[in-house]
Amino acid sequence: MRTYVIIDVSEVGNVDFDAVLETSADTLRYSLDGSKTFVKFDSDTTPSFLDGKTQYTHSEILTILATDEWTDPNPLGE
Amino acid sequence: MCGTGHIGTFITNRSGHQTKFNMSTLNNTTSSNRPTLGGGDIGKSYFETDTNNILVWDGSSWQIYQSDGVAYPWTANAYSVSYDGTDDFHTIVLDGRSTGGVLASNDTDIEMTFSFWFKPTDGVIFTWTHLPGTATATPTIQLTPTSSGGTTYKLYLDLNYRHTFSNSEIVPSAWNHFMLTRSKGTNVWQVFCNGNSTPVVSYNDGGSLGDRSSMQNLYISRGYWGYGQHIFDHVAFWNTDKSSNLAAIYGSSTPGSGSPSDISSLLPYGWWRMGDNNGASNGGAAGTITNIGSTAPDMGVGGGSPTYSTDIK
Repeated sequence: MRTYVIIDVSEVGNVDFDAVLETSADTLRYSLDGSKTFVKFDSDTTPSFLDGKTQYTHSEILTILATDEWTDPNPLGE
Repeated sequence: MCGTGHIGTFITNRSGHQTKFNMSTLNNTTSSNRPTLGGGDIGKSYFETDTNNILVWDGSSWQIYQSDGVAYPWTANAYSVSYDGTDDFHTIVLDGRSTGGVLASNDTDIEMTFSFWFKPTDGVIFTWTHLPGTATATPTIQLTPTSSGGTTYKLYLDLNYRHTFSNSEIVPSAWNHFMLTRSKGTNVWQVFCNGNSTPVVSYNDGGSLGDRSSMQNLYISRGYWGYGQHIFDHVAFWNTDKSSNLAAIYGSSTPGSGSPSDISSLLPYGWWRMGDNNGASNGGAAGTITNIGSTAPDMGVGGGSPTYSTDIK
């Protein structure tokens, strides 16, 4: 089961990229204001640096990412 | 520095008798050490070890035959690559700017073909731009939903949206084939969907392509804004117009009946089979996708973790 966790950008330095599916801070997706990002993992065991944080399913994170906080509501030329 | 050598090999017939054949090898050289030959040396040939090119002397200059060294035998299509719509995408460093090496430097003389199979669920399908998501990087070409999500798509090209695809032209949640071409003879862009020889889009750019200066990387399942939740297979690119080869690329002359097929005879500049040449396993991480066409680079992961899938056409 793939699990998604949103973190503050200030916490990116704590991310163990060996424990998540993203590979580096440079390839993370950030919220439009740059204050948040997220990581995902497949393991049944939550990486320790994500302990206590809200976990989302794929459909849940897609709903969040579709909001104005993460996706420009006025895309190119519209 | 040049070198030469010979290889001997034995062929054994049914009675066990062996015959030795001496197979000569080409002289070898490197691109920085190409010799200059004379008028009497017509036909002399070299293998260039740093480029894998074969050089043949025509009496005054080298005729260069490109070879990328590794030959990939055709195997049946078994894998595709899935993008989850959150942060997964692949990118290809395919420089189409006027100073780039992929397309003609003059807009009027651009010829190209971009072909791929895809099963769309939601979000951006592809874009040809640089630094997506930044205000200074509007795309040159993009296939994107009509809103920030959804499954009705439209083509952005030459500074504007040129076509909105009906759900019978690009069918949501089904395998589709998309082929975009440009002819230098007519300055016309065409889009062919699912093997139909009548183009869905036919647009004349007048010999000038807007925002070509952004045409740096091809992004798969990533756009000017946003990401896509799709499955991709058999991505191919030519810097020539292959509209007359639609049936061969689509794998059928009957619309709706095609499937990914062996297009090696059409000499694609780039051909990324999305797993079939990369030791894929269902659900495994799809890292770098090897280009098995000509000189285009490999497709690299730009973000997230695309995965291989056995969901194929």
